[in-house]
Amino acid sequence: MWTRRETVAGGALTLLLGGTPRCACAADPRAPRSFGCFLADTDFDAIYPAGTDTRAFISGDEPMIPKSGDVDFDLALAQTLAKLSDALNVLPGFAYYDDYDGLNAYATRRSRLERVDGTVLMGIKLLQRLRKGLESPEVAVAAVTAHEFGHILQFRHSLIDTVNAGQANVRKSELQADFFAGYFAGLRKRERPSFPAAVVAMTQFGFGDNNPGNRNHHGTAQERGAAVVRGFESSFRDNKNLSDAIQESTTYVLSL
Amino acid sequence: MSSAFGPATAQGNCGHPNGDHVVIEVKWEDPIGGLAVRDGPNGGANRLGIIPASGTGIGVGQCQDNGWCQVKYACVSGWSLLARFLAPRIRRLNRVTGVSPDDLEGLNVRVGPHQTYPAKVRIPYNGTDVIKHICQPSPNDRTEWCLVTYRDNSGWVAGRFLTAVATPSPVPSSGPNPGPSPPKVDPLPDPKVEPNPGPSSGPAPGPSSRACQLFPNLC
Repeated sequence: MWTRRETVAGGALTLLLGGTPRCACAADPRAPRSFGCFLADTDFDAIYPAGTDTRAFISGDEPMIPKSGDVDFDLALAQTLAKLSDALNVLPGFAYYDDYDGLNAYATRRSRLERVDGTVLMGIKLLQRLRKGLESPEVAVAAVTAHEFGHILQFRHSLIDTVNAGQANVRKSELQADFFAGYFAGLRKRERPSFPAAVVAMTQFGFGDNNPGNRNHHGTAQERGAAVVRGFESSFRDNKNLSDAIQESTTYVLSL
Repeated sequence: MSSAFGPATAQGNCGHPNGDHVVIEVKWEDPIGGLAVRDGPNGGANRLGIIPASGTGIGVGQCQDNGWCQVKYACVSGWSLLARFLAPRIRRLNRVTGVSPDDLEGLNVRVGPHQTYPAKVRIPYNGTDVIKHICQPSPNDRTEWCLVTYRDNSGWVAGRFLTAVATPSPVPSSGPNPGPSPPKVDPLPDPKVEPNPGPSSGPAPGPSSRACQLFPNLC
């Protein structure tokens, strides 16, 4: 039975074209004003054109993620989205988009649906890549999604400008989103001890980069993994509520 | 001995390692930050621990034709790929050169491979017995930096200030029970971070999974 917790938005835009894989949240040429893996309003339409089929899962009768082609995966992801929504107290829309020229996922303040806090966009190629992982690939998908939900949380609490103040790149806001992904992983681990939380850290670790001179620098692999671990400890070990975790995450990234 | 990086080590509390081999060629970016010690002579065996990238004092025993040797590092005994990641300490000794005697600070040993990382200790301008574990381009600007150990302190120094100390003659692998010479060229895949061959989804990864190797505290 579907509950309100599971009325998370979903939809798909799939234009499968060739492309060169890059990394999650790489700067997208169609989003020249955006940095990090969140989109400026002015860039949103460029990769998420009007008319894209998005809809909320209201009754449970709708096809959940029509383009994945894997019913079990769709169900698992819908449940994960609901858990993320609860854990981070945000309700964004969720949709795929065509990351034809790289592997990307984004969060944006723009909402295409009522009652939602912006939209999370998962690149279809990124999804495919993550699902080919050898180790709990569904959790790798959850890790990237949790990171993007973390950006939605940042939007809601106006955290991005705070943590990026005076910075030449978006590293701190990205690491804070990693912290929130870890916070989610810790909650899941408390709920289900067999939850493979380490896969969340490993996934974000794998998207680290060594380009601090690039405005889109997300943090090194070590920094990204460490941020997830800090978030994990905040919920799993320290049992902090979301408000305290937000404060801790801000203090943490500002100290870096 | 300290580790420049790496969350887990095999050192434990069994005293100071006293073997004559050191870890080499483990890069700054290495996912596990060290050399895996396994319970068998292959990359698929269970990992018993990690010797830090700056590990010294590793004892080496019997070796196999594939380059894997029995190793002992403090509390942990197992198998590691000597041919690629271990070398006799005497072959890795360097001395400081190019630092002025007037430079009272000497050569900075930093926590990472670039001058922007903070210094943790210093080596005198005439320092010797500097163990060089690996040299690599800095991710920041591609200048050469080397992970070294000097008097039980490990960290990164600018490579241009190190000069190898000539050894009297080539020294073979000199473990307690030396075995066949390891191959010069290692055709094996990196044995330290092999992907988990297990199921693609399901329950939590076991302690031998890559994710748990990287982040043991989350498993």
